[in-house]
Amino acid sequence: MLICATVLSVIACKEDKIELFSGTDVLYFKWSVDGFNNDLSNRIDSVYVSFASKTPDVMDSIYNIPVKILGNLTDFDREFKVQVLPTSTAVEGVDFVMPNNVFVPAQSVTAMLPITLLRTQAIQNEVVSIKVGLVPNEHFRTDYYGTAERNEKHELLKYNEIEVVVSDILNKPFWWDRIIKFYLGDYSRKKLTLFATVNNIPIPNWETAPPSIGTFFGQKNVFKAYLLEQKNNGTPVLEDDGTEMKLGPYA
Amino acid sequence: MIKNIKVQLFFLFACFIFMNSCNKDEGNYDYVEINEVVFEGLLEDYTVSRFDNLVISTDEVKYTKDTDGTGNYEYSWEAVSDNFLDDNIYVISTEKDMNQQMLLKPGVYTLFYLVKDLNTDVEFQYQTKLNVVNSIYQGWMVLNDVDGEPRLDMISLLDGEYKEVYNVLAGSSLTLTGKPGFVECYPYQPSFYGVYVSTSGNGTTKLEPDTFDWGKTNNISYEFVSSQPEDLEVTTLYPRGNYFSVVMANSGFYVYNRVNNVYYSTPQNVRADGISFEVSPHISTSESFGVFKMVFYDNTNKKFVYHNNYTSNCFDVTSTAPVFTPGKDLKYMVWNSYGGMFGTTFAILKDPSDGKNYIGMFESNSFTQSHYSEIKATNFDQAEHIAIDPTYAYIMYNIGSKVYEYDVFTGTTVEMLDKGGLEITKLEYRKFFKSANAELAKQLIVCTYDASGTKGSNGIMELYNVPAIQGQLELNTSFSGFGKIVSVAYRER
Repeated sequence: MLICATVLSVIACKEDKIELFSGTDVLYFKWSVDGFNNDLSNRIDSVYVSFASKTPDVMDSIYNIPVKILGNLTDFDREFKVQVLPTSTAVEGVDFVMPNNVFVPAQSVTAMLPITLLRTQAIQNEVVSIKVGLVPNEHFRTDYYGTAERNEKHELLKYNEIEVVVSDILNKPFWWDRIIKFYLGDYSRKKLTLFATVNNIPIPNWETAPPSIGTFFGQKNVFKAYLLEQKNNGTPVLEDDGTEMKLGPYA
Repeated sequence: MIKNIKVQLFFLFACFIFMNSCNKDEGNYDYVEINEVVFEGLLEDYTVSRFDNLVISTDEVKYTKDTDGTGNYEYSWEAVSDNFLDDNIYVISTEKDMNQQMLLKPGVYTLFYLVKDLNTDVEFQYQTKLNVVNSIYQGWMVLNDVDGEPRLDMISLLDGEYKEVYNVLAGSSLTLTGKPGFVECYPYQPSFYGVYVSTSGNGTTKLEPDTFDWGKTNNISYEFVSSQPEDLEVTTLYPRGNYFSVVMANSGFYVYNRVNNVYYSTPQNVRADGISFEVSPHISTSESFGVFKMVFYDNTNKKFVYHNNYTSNCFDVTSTAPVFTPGKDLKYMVWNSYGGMFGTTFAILKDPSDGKNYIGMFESNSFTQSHYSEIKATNFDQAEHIAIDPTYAYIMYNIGSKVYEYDVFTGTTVEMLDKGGLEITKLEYRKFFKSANAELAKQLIVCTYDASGTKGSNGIMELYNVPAIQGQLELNTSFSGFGKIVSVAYRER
């Protein structure tokens, strides 16, 4: 028995070489495989970006979309190619800008595709869609398909295409007519934006929840003091239709 | 077959083990006795007030070989919390004897006394209990100037007696810098009693009320809804009541009134039409009746105005009583409990046309004047500090080291104190929220400073009883060992 065991243990450790992967590496959009923020339950091939909560001084925003490779690391940078798909409603150079050169850095499995989103007047009324696809080149194939489906939809996720929907639509929030209007008066985009600007805060989200009253009263006072100051300086704040910006009865 | 082999093997192994197990260990060591530490004369528990010195003598600790104790040792006093406050090991001292200010937070600790004989590298330890008792529960907070630097002290009420505790921020994460401004106490929120301290270096901030710990979100700037510099320094904080206060900053005043959902936001020294005016730093806020108006003085238009506690602007006082006639300069204004349940606002005004001083008394809701007369007190124009007695409405004031008392009803001035070579740095009555402290509210606070004394312990705070019919002030209590006292406030419970 002991002899048996000894013999067994000697032959048990023979090295078994495994062949490494070979062939052209594959490139894909990371979110559709690993999930947004590595959340596997949230695998996506389209994202929604809104400027609405940003104050008017924000004129653009760089949106980074990660790509990832299936294959080997290399010790040199590898360029990859993207193209704007004809189904896009956004216009390159008008609604967004993409870099000419993008590459997967040496010794890295991921890279970023930075898209600069431009805040145009047009997206205050209508959303635009940027659709970008990966294009094969000498370094990468892009024909990676999977069986994963979009959340709650029986459509296959695309691994080599991504859609970025950009909007700046700021509608009257749900709580405006219920609370806000008694203090700030009638809704206008300009008023809500100015309220945030003079208070040095992001544009408040009064869609899903009403404001915290104490904070809101304080911010209302800051806004009211600003409007009065402008008026006393002879430069009253006007709405887009040329009338003076007015607050509500309880301001 | 296999079963048989297994059984046989088992017995074989068992035999080996039994054969070996009872072997006598002959050993080949020389047993040499080493120098040992014998911990004698140490107690099983120690109790110390936080910020006091913990003193433990180790005179009776003996060594078995080194009888005169002149060997080469390394000492360490280390404490760990028994209340699971944290899992830190606090090294309190590395001296042979313990004599160190106790900065640990109140709680029960296990204290280790570690003695390492460096000749043998053997360490001996003694274990005892250490109770750190809170010494900052209630009492006077005293902000002083020690050679140009701020220091916060406390006169702490412990077991029914007041005792000075110096530098209560030793061990806190807050280091005071710059010019000392003020210290002030009031209930900021139901869950956070505010002990505020303000300096030019730190801005205005509050301490954790039970430990005096600190984090930057304690800064008063975080209490503002409007954006303010992180280290905003307010010049004054007037507690109005529970969760209700007024601060002066950026030459304006701001109101916090939690019950009415009012937070510090915009300067309130404005008219309803948005025109602002210069506001006097002297204000009148009755603290017992939160619904009462707060009285301010418009220096620009030289008239009284009021704030209704929630609307974000001031209103004119419409009363036409003589005290409200515009055009005078406000020298001093305060509210105190004189005159019954609603208290009284006292205003000292100077008429620039004839240079005369006047005292006006009124109730600050209906603006009913109860008294108005010219002040004929001795050399009143030279008064340095002014205070108004809440029991008899005397005007207390000092000129240099002399304190005078003026009866507004009889026009009589009596010299009360002469502090000789000492400088009077404060003359004040404090307001209290708790009725248990009503007696303290009647006592006149006199702080003096001896310029020739030792820096940091040349300041004195005295509390005087003020007798009727202008009897001489009677010293009630005296506390010493401070620097130049800039501000005092009372931390109530």
